[in-house]
Amino acid sequence: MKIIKRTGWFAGVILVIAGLLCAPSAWAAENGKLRLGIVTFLSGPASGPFGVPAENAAKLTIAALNAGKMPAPYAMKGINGVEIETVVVDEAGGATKQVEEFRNLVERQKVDAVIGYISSGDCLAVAPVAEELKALTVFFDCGTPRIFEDASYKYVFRTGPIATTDNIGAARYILDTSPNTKSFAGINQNYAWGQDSWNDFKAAMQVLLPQAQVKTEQFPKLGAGQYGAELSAILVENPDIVHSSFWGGDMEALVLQGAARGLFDKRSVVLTCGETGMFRLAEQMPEGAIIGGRGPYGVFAPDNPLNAWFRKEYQAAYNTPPTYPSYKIVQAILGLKNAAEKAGSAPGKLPDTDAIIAKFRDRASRHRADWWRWASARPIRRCRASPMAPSIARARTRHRRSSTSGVIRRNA
Amino acid sequence: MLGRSQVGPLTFSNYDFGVILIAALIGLGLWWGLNRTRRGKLLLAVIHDREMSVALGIDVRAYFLLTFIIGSVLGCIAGAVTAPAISVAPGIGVEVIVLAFAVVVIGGLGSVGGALAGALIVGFSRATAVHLLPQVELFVIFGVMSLVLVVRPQGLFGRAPPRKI
Amino acid sequence: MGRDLTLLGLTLALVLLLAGAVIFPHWLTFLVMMSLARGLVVLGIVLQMRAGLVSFGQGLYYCIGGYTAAMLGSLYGVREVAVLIAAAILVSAAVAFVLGTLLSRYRDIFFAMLSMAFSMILYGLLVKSPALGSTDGFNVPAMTFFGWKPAVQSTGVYVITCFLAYMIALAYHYYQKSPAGYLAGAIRENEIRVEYLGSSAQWLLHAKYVMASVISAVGGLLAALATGHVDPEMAYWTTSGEFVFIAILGGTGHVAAPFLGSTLFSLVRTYAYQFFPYTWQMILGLVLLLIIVFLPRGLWSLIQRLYSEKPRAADR
Repeated sequence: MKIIKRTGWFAGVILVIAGLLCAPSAWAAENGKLRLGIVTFLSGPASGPFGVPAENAAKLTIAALNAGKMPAPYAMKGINGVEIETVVVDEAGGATKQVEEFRNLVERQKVDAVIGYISSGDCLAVAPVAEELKALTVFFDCGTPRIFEDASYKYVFRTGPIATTDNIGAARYILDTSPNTKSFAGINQNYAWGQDSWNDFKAAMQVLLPQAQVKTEQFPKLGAGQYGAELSAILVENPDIVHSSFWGGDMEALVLQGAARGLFDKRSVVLTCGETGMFRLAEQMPEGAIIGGRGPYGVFAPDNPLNAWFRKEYQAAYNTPPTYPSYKIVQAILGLKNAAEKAGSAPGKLPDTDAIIAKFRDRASRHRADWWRWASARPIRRCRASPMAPSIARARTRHRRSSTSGVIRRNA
Repeated sequence: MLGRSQVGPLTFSNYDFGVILIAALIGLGLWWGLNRTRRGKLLLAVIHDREMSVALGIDVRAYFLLTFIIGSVLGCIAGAVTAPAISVAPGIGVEVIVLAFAVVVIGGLGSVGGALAGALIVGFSRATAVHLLPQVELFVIFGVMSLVLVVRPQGLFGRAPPRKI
Repeated sequence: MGRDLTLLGLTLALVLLLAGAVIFPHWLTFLVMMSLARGLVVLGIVLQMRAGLVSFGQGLYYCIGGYTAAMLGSLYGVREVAVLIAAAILVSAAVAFVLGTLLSRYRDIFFAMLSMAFSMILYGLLVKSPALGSTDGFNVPAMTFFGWKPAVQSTGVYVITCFLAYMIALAYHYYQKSPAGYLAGAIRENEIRVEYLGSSAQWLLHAKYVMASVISAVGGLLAALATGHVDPEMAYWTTSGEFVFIAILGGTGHVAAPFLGSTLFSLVRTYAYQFFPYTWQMILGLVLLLIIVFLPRGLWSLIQRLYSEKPRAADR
């Protein structure tokens, strides 16, 4: 009998736990607000350069939207007059984990839409799940060309350009500024992003500057932090141009160690993600480094009232100018807002998901958000002594004129 | 930091030479402390046979604590001398764990000379791979480690444990 | 109490879980499904742990299982789970047999590091394979389950996961009750005596290594089906480290312990994620640290205590 009593006690505990587990779904009751899931790196190496700037910008933008303080044409409160509430989730932990958390976000937390995902692996894994759950999902950053190119989705959107354009843009910039380039080398992180970036850059260079030779291609591990051997290999080969798609702490380490080893003395270094570190590394960034901002974002964004407002507010709130991840997430939020508001519901009511999707797709081909106007984009440029100096704005630039742009894109 | 020097066609940061010097001094000190002092020898006894050491009246717990403290201090010094050249982040130590274990396993447990040899093997095999065959850089250390263990299951300087029936 | 309630308990759990396919909210079925899949990998580690070997490379088989399923599914157009299961078992058993001939000679840290080395080599190879999507991995298409095509893919995966976990758990339990199972403890305590008793420790460890690998590969296959995505991260050593951690968390005393451990781990993690998006690592670490400090023999010791069954030395 003792056993039965104890089993009963045990079963009781399990029931209580089960009850607790089911409780959160009840909290997410209808409260008349739009529940928006925001997924971005809050921890790990990608949080500093990407995740946190993006999250900060999202917080700032949503607060401004809820207060109805955004400049026109985004002055309507929230999204179509509906207040936005957010559920923020950390993107760290890998694709498997993110699929799990995406399901929790949609099914347990009952969000109306999800904006997020910086890592390409996460985007690839999450897209089919979003489709299965019929959850409107907007990717704001991931740069892999394998999401909409390998499959087609109804509920999934991406509001930023793919990485291919960054690297073709970089090659074109080199063609314009140093057409006599004889050789180039690459140092990229050994994972999909680094490999794709280098392959795109190499292919573009071989077409644009066929005389330039590849000297060495280095692929240190992601997060290695020590590049002594790789730097030696590059210095021995002595190329004219060094290409790198490093970001975050790795880029910082490369800049520090490269400067100490004379990497930047006789050659140009192309940092396709350099823009994320340009304020943090303002002192260390070598003279003449060519940096990219993954599209017309950050300092490359055109001068207009919306941008001026955003820069001012962001600087005031976080004491640093916004970088490209900040811009990209705002673009995703405003893209969603624009589509929802064009979907034809009376203000104060949320249109249904299908109507938003129809408009979103429509925007994809026609909509141009004001500040991303392509004609004035300057995604790659050469860095002078201090990237903050006003002279920078006059640096010669060559923008990527090819197709993709800051347009809201789908099925690219 | 401390300027640079030219070695052949390559430029090196003098700071890196400083780090090598510091590592050599500490390694020498550790070796001397372990093998040439009374406390060091007691520590080795504890490592080799805990039960026997207790029977001989050595305070094993105190020696474990001491070992742990020394190990932590060494780790701290390594982090401190590396920090100026890299970007410091909370997850910085994770990758080092695996490298450290690989070094220890290659060199053999409990041998300062083995740790030196292991570290040099790990460093040089990586550098060689980076220069000659960058594709295998990611796992060359593990490949070398497997090879060493196939030939010498206890590592290069490790001693086989005594048979205890 | 002397009676073995395992068969009853496991069958009860299976019935409950199958009923859960209808009554659980969706996210919970997913969590259970992932916990069972991971629990299988942990079970593989526990199988070796009982013999005194800690594998820091179980992710190798987790990855092999997942990639076998994903590659057959998306590159060769296989759409039947039964085929995938057979393939995953065959591939993992073959790999484990070959690697086992080498690995069964090593103990302690050497075994741990070598097993990790092999999984890192697989990781390195996958990262260098653009055809397989490098670090981003690729997706697993929808499947049929022994001819059955459910309306929602995840229902099928859930049911198959429950059944497979149940069958493997039972097989594992009766294996541990067999002489070969009991010898694990003997090997851990003193190998030479086992040899003197007429058993070959090396062969036993080799067999256990292969068994553990197959179990883990099935876990990897189920995880790949559940998430619909594989990436090389599955073979990275931190993944293996997490499994070892769950093994310690759950305890090695009983077949249910790894599943219990992995379910608790998933629950704590997902709620830490939800309620503390900025400090979830700290909360997760703290909770797990407390469990380890107060239940050094894992969660299972709590249940043993509940039934006033003294933890035996062999169950450490």
